[in-house]
Order: sequence, then C-alpha cells, then structure tokens
Amino acid sequence: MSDLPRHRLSDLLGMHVRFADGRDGDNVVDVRLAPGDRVRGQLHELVTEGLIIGRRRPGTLFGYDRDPQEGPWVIRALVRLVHRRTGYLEWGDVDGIDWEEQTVRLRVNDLRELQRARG
Amino acid sequence: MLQLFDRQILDPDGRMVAKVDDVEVEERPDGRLAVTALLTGPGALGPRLGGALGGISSRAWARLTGKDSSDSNPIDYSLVADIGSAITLSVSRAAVGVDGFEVWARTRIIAALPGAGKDPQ
Amino acid sequence: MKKVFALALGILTAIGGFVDIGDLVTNALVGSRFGMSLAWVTVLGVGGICVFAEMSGRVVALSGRATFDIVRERLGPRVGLVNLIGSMAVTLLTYVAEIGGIALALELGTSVWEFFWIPFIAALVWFVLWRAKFDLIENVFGILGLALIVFAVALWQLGPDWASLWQQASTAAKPTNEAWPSYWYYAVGLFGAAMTPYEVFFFSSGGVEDGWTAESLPTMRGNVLIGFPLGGLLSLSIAATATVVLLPASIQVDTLAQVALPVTVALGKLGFAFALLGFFAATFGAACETGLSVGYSICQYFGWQWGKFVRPRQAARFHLVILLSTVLAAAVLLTTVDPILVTEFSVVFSAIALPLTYLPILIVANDRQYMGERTNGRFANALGTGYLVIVLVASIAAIPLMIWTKMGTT
Repeated sequence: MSDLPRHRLSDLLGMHVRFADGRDGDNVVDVRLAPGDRVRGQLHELVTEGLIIGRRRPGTLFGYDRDPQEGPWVIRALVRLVHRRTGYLEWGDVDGIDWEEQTVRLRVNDLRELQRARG
Repeated sequence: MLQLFDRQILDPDGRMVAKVDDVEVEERPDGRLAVTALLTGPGALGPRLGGALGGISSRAWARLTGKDSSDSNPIDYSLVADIGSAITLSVSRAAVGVDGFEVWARTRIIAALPGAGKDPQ
Repeated sequence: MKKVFALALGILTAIGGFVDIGDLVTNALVGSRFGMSLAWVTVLGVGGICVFAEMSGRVVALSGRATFDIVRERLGPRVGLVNLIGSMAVTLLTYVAEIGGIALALELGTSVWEFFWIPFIAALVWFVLWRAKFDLIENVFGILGLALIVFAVALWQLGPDWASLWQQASTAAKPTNEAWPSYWYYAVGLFGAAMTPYEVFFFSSGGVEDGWTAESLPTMRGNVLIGFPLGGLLSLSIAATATVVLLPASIQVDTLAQVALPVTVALGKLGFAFALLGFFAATFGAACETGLSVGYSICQYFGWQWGKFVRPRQAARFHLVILLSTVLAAAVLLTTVDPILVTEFSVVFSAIALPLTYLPILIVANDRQYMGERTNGRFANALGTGYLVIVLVASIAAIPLMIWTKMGTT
C-alpha cells in the first residue's frame, strides 16, 4: 500500500476557492473524475479532472452540467438560472488544497465556462 | 459519465451491496487526487448529511451494527468492474463484507421466523 | 398468444388494483357532497399517474434502477433523506389507512367490530408479505378487485339522468350549498388519492421484482395506458353512484357502509356482496403494496438488498422494516382511531409528497446514461413538466386549505 495522504472526497465538496490574486471565490459544488493512465483492478483508475464552482450546495445541478441537450427545457432553464454564476476549473488551475483550512488555492483569477464533460 | 456518489453498488449476481456514501482518494505528488476506495456505512454517510442530522444518524446506526461510528466500510477500487447507472463489483457481496446491520437483522430476527430460507411461494 | 394473455392479465390486474381505500372513500365522499363537479380532478389525476408510472416504468426497465434509488442519486443524500422521511411518513399513514380499510370491510361483512379484526389482519398482511410470491400478490388481489365493476353496473341499473351527470362533470358545477375552499380542499384530496406516491415506488420496484427489460416496455405501457384509465373509470363510477343515491338524500359519507349503499339500493344483496369482495380485495392489495413500498423506499435510499425476488434471509433489513411497519400500523389502529379519518389525512398528505417524488423521475427519464436512446420525447416532457407544476400547486395549497376548511367540514 502506498503511503500517500488519503482524504475523503466529500471533504472537498463545500470548500471555498481562493484565486491567485487573493480574492475568495465560491464553493466546490462537484468534482469531475476521469480515467487516468494506471489500471487498478479491472478498470483504469479515476483521477480528478476538474471542479465545478458555484454558490449553491453540492448536488443541486441535477446532472444538468453533463449533457447540455437534456430536457425538459423548463427544468434545464431553471437549473441554468439558479447556477448562472457556476463555473468550471480544470485541475491544472489548482495550485493546492488546504484540507485543514478547507480552501482550494488556485493559479488563475477567473472561472471557466461550465462545459460538457468528456467521457 | 463517471459519477460515483450515491450510486448503487451491485455484485456480479446483481445483488445489492450498498450505496456509495463517500469516496476515498489519495493525493498524488502532482496534486491530482486518485480514487482508492468506495466508502459505505454510517461513518461515510454521516458527514455528508451534515450537521446534527448526520451526527445523530451515524451514532444511531453505529449502535445497531456495533461498530465505531467513524468506521466507513471501504471497498477497494480495484474490486470495481463496471461503472454505469450502478457500480458493479467483480466479487460477490459476501466477499466484500460491508453488511453489519444486515447480518444483525438476519441473525437476531429474521432467521428466527419460519420460512426465512425458503423461496417465496 | 402467451404475450396477449400476459398483456390481458396485466391490464385486468391494473384495473382491479387501481382503487384503494383512499379512492373508495374520497370518491364516494365527493360524490355525496359535490356530485360530479370534481370529476375533472379524477381525470386529471389518472392522467398524471399514467404519465409518471410510464416514465418510472421505462426508467426501471431500461436501467434497473427503481425510484428511490434515483431520488437519492439525483437529489443528493440530504434532500433525498428529507424526501425519504416525508415519503415514508405518508406511505406509513397510507398503510395504516389500508389495513384499517380491510378491517372495515370485514366489519361490514361480519358485523364484528373492526377493532377486533386488526391484530388478525395485520398478522395476515405481514404473513403474505413474508411468504407469498410477488406475482401472486399482484395478480390475485388485482383480479378480485375487478368485483368493484359492480359500481358501474349499479350506476347503469339506477338509470340516472346521464345528461345531468355529464353537465355537472363538464361544467364543474359546484353545488351552491358548498363553499369554494371546501371544493378545492377536496380537489386536492381527490388528486392525492389518484396520484399516490407509493404507486410509483411500487410500480418501479415491481419492475425489478418482475425482471423487466427493454422487451417489457410494450406490455408495461399497455398496462399503464389502458389499465389505469379503466381503473379510473371505476373511481368515477363510485363517485357517480354516490351522486345519484347519496347526494339527493343529503347522506354524507363517513363510513364504508355508505360507500356501498348505492350498490345495495341498485342491486340488492348480491350487489352488496360484490362490493364487499371488491372492498376487501382493493384494501388488502393496497395494504400489500404500501407495506412493500415502505421497505422499498428505505432500502433503496440506503442501498440495502430488498425485494421478494430473493429469500427473506438475503433481504433481512427489508423484511425487518416491513415487520416493524406492520406492528406500528396495527398499534396506531388499536388506539381506536377511525380508519376513515386516517384515510382522509393520507390522501391530503399524499398530495403534499408528490413534487419531490416526481421531479427526479422526470429528470432521469431524460438522462441518456440511464435511458439510452429512449429518453423522453417533447410530448412526454411537456406532460411531465405540466404535471409537475400542478402537483407543486396542489402540494403548496394542501395544508392551508386543510386548516382553512377544518378538513373539509366547513
């Protein structure tokens, strides 16, 4: 077994972000996972690919971040409205995570557009 | 889409194992987090419920199963065979052993009733 | 040929199994006070349950995921838990009402006070849920429930003024001696009686019990789109017979005997016997469904093994939940609370629980990962969204109306 530090992924949810210029941002709403290079068991391992950042509690996107074509359009429009400030970060934008301070330090000053996830 | 939280975990026979209550990750040197295990049980779900509700339910559940309330029943990620609308393992439910409350219910109450082991008619 | 037989059986079972104590009491009560002016609500409610039963049936046939599994996965564990507690409370309340209804039916048939029947019935219901095969439960009580067709026969026999009945129904002509708040209170109750939450839990979990796949879709749709509306016609018959016999005599329904009275008037003792059989089958069948649904919801939230398709030993927590629920239901009834009163509460609270139950189903029915190519079309989405708005309005209006009208008594 490796002795890399272990954490609960749910600890990451709800952490607030801090931009490179020191401003505080919103909270982690969801974590995007993607297959990594190594194989673990039968599948490729899952590694973090990005973060969804917004003001709302985790879980209120109802999955509408994944497929922009999904209906019904009224619900999708409502979710978009509620999450209009919600944005995305690639993992490369993350400088580091302070697990005790519950903060994600970033290398960038802005969020990206919430986009459809690959995979 | 590779969503793990709150998905049903099944064994190869389709038997229900648990739900993904939380996910354990390790921090790689390059900063990325890699999934090492699926966490189930009151110790895993309690913190996600948050606040007083989470604390109460963890402790109540822990009492029934006789385990430590922070115990989280990990299922190593290497045992996962497929991820879809549910997560399928490559080993049977018994092999994973996350069933504290089920075993308690079975031995204390259900097995005492006649017909517990028979197929329904 | 076998497929046709299976479809026919499914449709007949759906018709006979549609009516439960909530429908029996609420439709008769509404007919005796408001005539057919609330018939549109029953039609609306039947439409709604068809839309959402088809959706949840399609989801479970294509993905194997039953409703409460989806509720937690889509809404998250916190909101999902609130939903679970609310849904379980309503389903348990309905379970109490159904078991009470069985006791009332037996009281009607034997003149033995319903109170004495309760322990025996609770034990019998539990035993059926413990030992009987899922298909057997569904089919036996569904077919026997067809005895309620006697209400339609009675209506015919009574030779009512069809034009007047139609006029009442189509113009929603509220009787002048009833106030609008009461009218809307009973509209909410009638809606909740037609669109009970436990129905989608049971229907979708039944899909797993019966091993539905994509091939099962046509049969499932036939059962829902033919069976449920015809079952709704039974509800309307009950309301209509009450309109014809009880309304002119100003008899307000507060016992099961009064629900059956129009049938006795029209068809005598034989009609009454059929009505009694129908009451027993409808309430016993519904008691089994609600009892199972309590187990389904809690197990699907936590991820525990559930179902009648495995031996009890392998679903110990599921059966433990059912056992405890049955004991609790019996205990509530043994406080001598009136089962009719419990029924009236249960239909109103059913209306309150509907939005959070249906929203995840509508969302997942659009999710390609679950549905493949068979996601909702525009029509299904339009209907689903429309009904979601209606159930939301009904849910919000329920408690204020209940308080304002003092449960419909003013």
